[in-house]
Amino acid sequence: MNTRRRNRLVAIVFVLGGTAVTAALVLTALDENINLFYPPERVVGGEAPAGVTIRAGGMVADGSVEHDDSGLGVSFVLTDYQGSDFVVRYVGILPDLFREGQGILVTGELDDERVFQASQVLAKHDENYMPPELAGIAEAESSTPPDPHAGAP
Amino acid sequence: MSRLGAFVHRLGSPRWFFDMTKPWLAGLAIIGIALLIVGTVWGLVFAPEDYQQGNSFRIIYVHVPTAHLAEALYLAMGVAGVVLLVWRMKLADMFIAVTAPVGMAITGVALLTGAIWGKPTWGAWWVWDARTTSVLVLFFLYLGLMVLREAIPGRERAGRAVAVLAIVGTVNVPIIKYSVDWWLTLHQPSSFSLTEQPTMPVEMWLPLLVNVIGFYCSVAAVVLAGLRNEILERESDTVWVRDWLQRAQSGSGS
Amino acid sequence: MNDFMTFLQMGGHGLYVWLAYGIAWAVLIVLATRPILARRRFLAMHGSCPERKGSSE
Repeated sequence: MNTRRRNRLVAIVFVLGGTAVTAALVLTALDENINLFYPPERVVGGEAPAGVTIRAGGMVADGSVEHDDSGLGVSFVLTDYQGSDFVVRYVGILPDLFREGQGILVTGELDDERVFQASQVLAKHDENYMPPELAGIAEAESSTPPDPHAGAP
Repeated sequence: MSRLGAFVHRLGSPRWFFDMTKPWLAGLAIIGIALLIVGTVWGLVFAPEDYQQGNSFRIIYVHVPTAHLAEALYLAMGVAGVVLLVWRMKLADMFIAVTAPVGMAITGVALLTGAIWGKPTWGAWWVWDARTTSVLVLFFLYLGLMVLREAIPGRERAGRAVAVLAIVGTVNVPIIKYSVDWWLTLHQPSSFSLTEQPTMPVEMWLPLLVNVIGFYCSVAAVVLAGLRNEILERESDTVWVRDWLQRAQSGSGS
Repeated sequence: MNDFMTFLQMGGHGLYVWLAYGIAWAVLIVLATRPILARRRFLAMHGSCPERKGSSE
């Protein structure tokens, strides 16, 4: 490789490296803002502000889903299964994938009692896909009762 | 000149590339279309539904291949950008010019199918998380490459400016790939990787593999066909293109 | 026939599934057609008068 080409290549490497470092610095500085939601730990720990619209996420705790008398309102507990959990209240239609143990994202506000008043509920599914038959076996083995509506929304 | 140097020099000759790639085009197109038909029918009819998502899971067979391809095409343009700036290879400039609109269209498909998949599974068409946002940035990078080429007068200067943007923009690709690991996102981690254990059973994963290869081959054929046209256009004043034209006229009559 | 309707409905997700596949295939067809048309245009423009310019080689 002759000198001119090597110089051009070096210049490109420097520009690309500089861009990468800049991007890394910016993204690190913005880290908290890039996270889409507050995990339960940060909601409980008080880092999530009350009275402003935020997003929080967690898993729906087993046996925590309670529908109110009107049938539209629902309350449930979002947990990280590691000791942090908070109560969510929501009025509206839940997504198809909403069920116990499911990852859920809620948009809304924490009220004075640190109860999350949600205006939107989104389901966060994981990357593991399974046919219904296989899922039935897996659930039977893990001794949780299989959901009769699984796979047939 | 070294052996490698000679090879690179020949590869840089548009005429040599044009002659050499003629048989590749039909092969790539036939393999690509065949795999896409097999993968699509397999994904729509024979692959099982997901235990949670039901049939909306089938969107994975068009969403994942296009999303992969959107990143791969951009990386390829970045490499071509380096080749253009360091070795001044005209063919690399033609490749970027031809690939940018194709990549933008494929990124558009990845975004749209993602939105369509998001509605029934997440409950929202669009959420501004790190993954969706960085892919949207990728879309605008492709658009930027096309706009920049039009905006700068002089083919050579425009080509070099576009190459710089193509190279710098590759920084976004690892951000897209690792966004789901680095930050809390609504988007799930990746389900298709050649280096890791698939996150689904083989009857779901195999049609995905077929469609990924099918999309790669088909789009490679599209880019190659575009590149061969671009070569003809840019070299239309040369003797070899005029010879080729005469043969094309008298020969097959295409 | 009933089976076919069930297939089209995709368990209620038919609209989403068919829309996604429709968009993907439509874009692929457009992408594949563009170079074919460009080649025809090139042949039509240059094919009829291959000696329209002096040798520039």
